Amino acid sequence: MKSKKISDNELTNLLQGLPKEKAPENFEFNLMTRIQNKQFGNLQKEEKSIFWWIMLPSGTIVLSAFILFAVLFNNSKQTSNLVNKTKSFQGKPDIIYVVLPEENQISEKKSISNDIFVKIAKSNVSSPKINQALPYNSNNNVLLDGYLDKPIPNSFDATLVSGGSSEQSVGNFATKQSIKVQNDKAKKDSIEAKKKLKTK
Amino acid sequence: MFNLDYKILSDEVLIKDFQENNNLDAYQELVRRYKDPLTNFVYRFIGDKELAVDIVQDTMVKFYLKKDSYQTIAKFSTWLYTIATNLARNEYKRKRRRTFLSLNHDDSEIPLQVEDGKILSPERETDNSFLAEEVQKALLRVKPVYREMVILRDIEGFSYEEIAEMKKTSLGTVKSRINRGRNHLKIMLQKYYEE
Repeated sequence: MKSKKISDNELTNLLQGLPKEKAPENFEFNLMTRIQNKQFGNLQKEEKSIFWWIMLPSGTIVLSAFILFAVLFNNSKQTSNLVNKTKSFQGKPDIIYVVLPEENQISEKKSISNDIFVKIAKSNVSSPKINQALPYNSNNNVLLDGYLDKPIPNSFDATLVSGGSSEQSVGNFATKQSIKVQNDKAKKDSIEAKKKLKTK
Repeated sequence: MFNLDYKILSDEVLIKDFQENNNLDAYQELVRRYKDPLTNFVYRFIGDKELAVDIVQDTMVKFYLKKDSYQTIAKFSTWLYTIATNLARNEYKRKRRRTFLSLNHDDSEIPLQVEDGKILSPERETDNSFLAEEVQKALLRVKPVYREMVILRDIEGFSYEEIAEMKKTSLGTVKSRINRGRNHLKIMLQKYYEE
């Protein structure tokens, strides 16, 4: 048996030769009864469903766009914060030194308030040149532990003159004592002073 | 009133009469003209006679309800077949979903089992109804997008342009889809064309 390929004409003839299916006899009667009784089923309601099908994708798009925007906006905010943070780690920090002049180098004292005053140095007093080894290695990483353990050459303590609280410095890093500790210390001192007075 | 012989009037005149005067006689004449071709078309697409009749009923009801959406620029048959195609396609999808959920196999889902030509008796081989059955089975295995176009072109005899208008696609798409559908059919029906 040899097989030959079916041509388009043969296929069309085959399809056209299929028996024609006909509607049943009572088709028209049933249809007219349905129309007279207004039994339209879902066919009348379909417009509403079409409307919803139109609205559904657009609503979904709007909602997803809103979510996407919210997520992206949040991310960009976080990223910019991260960039700023990274920058602050990458760049060398600005260290502000408060240089306290010796008593003989002070020309005048200006009081800003009852507790705060500013010591102004004489004009011929020059600020010391600082050649400080900063705690960075070649990769710009901070070697904080090593830095705190070792005494830094050419470094000096700086004291911030202020009203209520005092700050002590370790190297170039300021440490702030909490008010509670200070209050405890003051109480302890006053008790000791009273004891001394009593013993005298 | 004139006693019009509706049989000699064209589809377009009848639909206009139905649209403007709500003339049910004109509507019934159009139903009479298209009920059989539409039943045949939907049956070939769905493969279920009862369902096909229901779909054609729905098509006619929709035609009755949406008569004003027809515009005279289009051919009436094209418009009516568009309604029928959409309803048939929706029903086909629903049917497939039902089949998938119920896990019951449908005839259209069973792979075509072409009997070996050697086993067939000569009487059976020449049996047209058997061949028609096999062609219908093969038709149901063609993808619906290709199938509907093959039916419209090769069984219902619409032109490529009319199908393109019906399906709102380009002429090229229609031609390529019909070609693919035909090729698919040829492969499946090759068995019956052995010398």
